[in-house]
Amino acid sequence: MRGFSIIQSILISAAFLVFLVSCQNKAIQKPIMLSKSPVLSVPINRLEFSSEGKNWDARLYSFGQPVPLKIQYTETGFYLSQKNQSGVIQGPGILYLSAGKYDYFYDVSLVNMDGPTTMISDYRSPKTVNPDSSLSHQKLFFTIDRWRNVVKSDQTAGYFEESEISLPPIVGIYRAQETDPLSSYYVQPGSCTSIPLQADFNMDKSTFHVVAGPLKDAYNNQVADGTVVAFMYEDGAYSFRMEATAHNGSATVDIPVKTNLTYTLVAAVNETKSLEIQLNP
Amino acid sequence: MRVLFGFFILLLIGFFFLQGRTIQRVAEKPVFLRIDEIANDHQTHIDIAVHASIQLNDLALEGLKKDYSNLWGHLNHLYETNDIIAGKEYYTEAWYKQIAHHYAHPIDEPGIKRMDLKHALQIQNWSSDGLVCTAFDRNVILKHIYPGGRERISSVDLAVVLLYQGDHWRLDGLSVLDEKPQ
Repeated sequence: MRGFSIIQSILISAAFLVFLVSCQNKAIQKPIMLSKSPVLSVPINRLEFSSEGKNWDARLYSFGQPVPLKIQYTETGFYLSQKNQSGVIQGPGILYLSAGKYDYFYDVSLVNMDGPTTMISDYRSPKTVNPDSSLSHQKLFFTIDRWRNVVKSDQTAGYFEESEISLPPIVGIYRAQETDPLSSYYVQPGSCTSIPLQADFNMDKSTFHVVAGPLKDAYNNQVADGTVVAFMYEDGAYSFRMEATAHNGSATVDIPVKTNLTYTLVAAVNETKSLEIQLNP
Repeated sequence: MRVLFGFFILLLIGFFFLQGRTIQRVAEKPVFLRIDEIANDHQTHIDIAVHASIQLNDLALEGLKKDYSNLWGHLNHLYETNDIIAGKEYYTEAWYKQIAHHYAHPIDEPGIKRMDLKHALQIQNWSSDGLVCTAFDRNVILKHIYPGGRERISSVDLAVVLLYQGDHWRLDGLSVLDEKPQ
């Protein structure tokens, strides 16, 4: 009878212990990433985990920022996929899984799946050159992919390249990159170096129609519109001055004529002067 | 006639009321009136070495150092919260577009925090007009603080492209060249 009570008390104690254990929260084990490689291709389509529970929260930290993920549960665990199809700054990342008070971390390496869709970024400095000062141009260029990763490529031996180039002295608007208007740079005309001068007498108006042009710089470029041309003439007793601005490489003035007077005319742009010509009606 | 006049006045009041509703009221202050608390609170140590062909003066280097520190304040904030808007003044349009792809909503719950403790910026190229800077940032010491308090310190090498736009330097491109645990 006494032996029976001992067995009975052991059984009751064991049942009580089992009850206590069953009341405790079971620790959630770290989910097992089924992919053996820590290198993850981005965008992530299906990253599978074997795990318990269905209340996981997942975040993927790329070097730049968190990447939003979706969780789909399966019979044996869950899998993660990316909410968007975009790439990231490649390199180290951290996958963070949490369920209640349990946090688990996985060091991963992120590589963009779409491969190196790269472009050359070509910056020129200065944006505007003038043959009067220098035609020398600094060129900075590097290769960058669509997710803003700076990469090495065939065109750029290192990550960054720099060279000094000499531009041809031909006036124009050029582009460092054909498809990018923001990469434009400008070669402007230099100072005027030659001033051809012609004059025709207009009998109806009694004026000389004077044309200075084509006005060219040292490299045979037409001078800039708006260049001021001074027309200086004298009749032996008085001297006169008129000014006009160049348009399409020439400037014109109409000089009124008094009968029986001969004028001596010269045109000037800054220090450059034309040959003298005589104006006889 | 009086009724017609009253109707006309009502019509006029209605018109002005509806016009007033359509005016967009911009709550965001202009940049020069804003106080950038994230940048102000951020502290790091930055050493700068110039390997560029162009000689740089102290003023240019100080400006770069200040902007680079502010930029990292915002990069860390972006890393923690995915708040892409707070640091938009320190990103070029291309960089902003890239990070906007991953924007869902700012993260409110605590996650991993990152601090940048030290930088050694080696300027490789500097454009003669002062608008482009390329650099390697060697041995950047980063501290990650995990939920629960665990910390991990690592060292990374970076390649960065900065463009001077508006009135400060902005991040245009970045590459992680190497990462080592400390």
